[in-house]
Formats: sequence, structure tokens, C-alpha cells
Amino acid sequence: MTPLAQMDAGQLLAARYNSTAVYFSDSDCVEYVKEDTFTIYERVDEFLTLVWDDTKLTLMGFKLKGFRYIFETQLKPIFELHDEQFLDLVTALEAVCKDVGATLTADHKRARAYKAAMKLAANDNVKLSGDFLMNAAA
Amino acid sequence: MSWFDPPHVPAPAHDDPDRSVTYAISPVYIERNAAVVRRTPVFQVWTHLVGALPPIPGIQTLARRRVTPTLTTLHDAVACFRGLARPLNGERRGESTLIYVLNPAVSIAYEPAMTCVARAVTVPPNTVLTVQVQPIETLPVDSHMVSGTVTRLEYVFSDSAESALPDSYQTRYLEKMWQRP
Repeated sequence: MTPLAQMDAGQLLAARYNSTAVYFSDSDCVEYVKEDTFTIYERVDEFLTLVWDDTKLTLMGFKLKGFRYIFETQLKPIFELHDEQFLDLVTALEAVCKDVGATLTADHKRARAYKAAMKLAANDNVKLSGDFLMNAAA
Repeated sequence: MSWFDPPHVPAPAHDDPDRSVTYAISPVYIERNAAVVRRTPVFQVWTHLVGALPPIPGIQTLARRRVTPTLTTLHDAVACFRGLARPLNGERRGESTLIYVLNPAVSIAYEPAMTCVARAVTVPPNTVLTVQVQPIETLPVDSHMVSGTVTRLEYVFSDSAESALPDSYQTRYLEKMWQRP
């Protein structure tokens, strides 16, 4: 199989979607989406957005926003301690929950959204790897 | 021109909708989507920002169908906001980010098929398209002619009282720059 970095535009059209978490540096967010299809984004709060399919019934993914702040304040020590190659996004979501703290227990809708994202991240074993972690850990 | 290399796009300026500016499409957005082989956002860049169907094999098949994607540019935006109200790199409230709002009726998505790997998608009710832009002051760009960089496209739920605008637009963004009647 041709490595993704060496694929041309024609090969990318035919290649299989790789459902994994991706960090977008200029919008500073980590995104996980299960399928390459039409999606709708639902803002939960300043850190979490849920991603739905076009029926608005099936959760397709989630987006963690302001990820550099989350990583620097909550995750970097854990990451360095375990010398990991990958970051489990359940851990990242738990870190955000710790950061927003008591406001979650008072807001059931938000709490449900975080639970749904964590369940999806756990079921799909969503991890972040690559340039972001190498650069951030340096 | 490759479908994975969309051109710069025209847009109304955030401080004067009657003045036209040019934005680049973020290379990061394109490259990171390519890294996971996610084609739908790039197809949507072509359709809703460039104003043309993506130049992929068999696209004429889609263009001839009864329902075809709505071709728009940012000049079709109904509103422009500033400030994402969330952390973004060095900004605690994403103060510099611009958000344009579009209301296309039909969008586009990837679909594995023999003739054409794009399909038209009727945009669900109560859904609008948002386009995030980092102005030139905060991001390096490759040309002095470019005023900023489009960093994301997202369909979002619309506001219950004002269906042309994003849900809770009053609180999710810091400032409304303009809105067209």
C-alpha cells in the first residue's frame, strides 16, 4: 500500500478513510469523525463540540477545542510521565471534565454530552499521535 | 488544478461587506484531512467557497442530476462574526477569528461509487454553514494579496429564533460584524 504522504490526488480519491483523531494547528482543535461523510457540529461549550450525521441522530465524532491549552495545563505531565507515543482521548476528555469541574454536575445536558463523547472515544479506542505530540512534548 | 489544491477564494471584508478581499485555504486543513483521507470537507471548500464543483473524475455526472450542490462563495454569506469565545492557540477567547455564515440548500459529500465519488446532500432543516477565517494579522500567509486563511468549514445547528444564523450566536461569538437582511 502506498503511504498516505506519497499519494497523489487520484489515489486519495480511491483510498480508504482512516478514522483516527487529527490535530488542526491553526484552529487549535483535535477532531475525531467516524466516517468521511456529511456532518453537523453541535457546540456543547468552549471545549467540546459533538459531531452528528445528517439525520442528527447518530453521533459521528467530537471535537476538542483549545487543545494546546488543555495539553499544556492538564496532559503534558501525564504524557511525559508515561513516555507515550499516543494520547488516549478518553484521558483528554477526563482532563477537560476536571478543568470545567463543578459546572458539569449542575448542567445535565453538558454532562450527557461529555459522557457521549467519552463513550465514543472508549468504544472506538480513539488516540492522537503524530506531529502534535512530538512537538508539544519537546 | 488538483482537487486537493483549492485556489484562493473571494470574500466580503469583515469590516465592510461591500469591499472584497481574498482568503487562502489553510494548507493545514487540507493536509490534515488528506492525512486521514477525509475528502468531504475539501469537496465542500470547492462547492461553497470556490463556487465550483471539485475537479474530480465524473463530476459532470453529479452536475447533470436533478438535485445538485448549491454553488456559493463567501460573497453569499448572510452574516459575519468575530471571536470564537474559546481558547485558540495564544488567544484565551479566540478573539481574532472571523466566522462567516452561509445558507446553502444542497451540499456535497464523499460517497464511494464507480462514476463519481461525490454526492449531493440536501442540507437538513435548521442547519447553516460556518466558515472560520484567521485574518492576516495572526497567521503567516504566502501572499501579500491575501487577507487571511480559511481554517475550517462546519455545518452547525441554526438558532431557534433566527434560522439563518448559528444556534446561540449571541453567546458563541464575541461580536457581530455585519448581517445582511
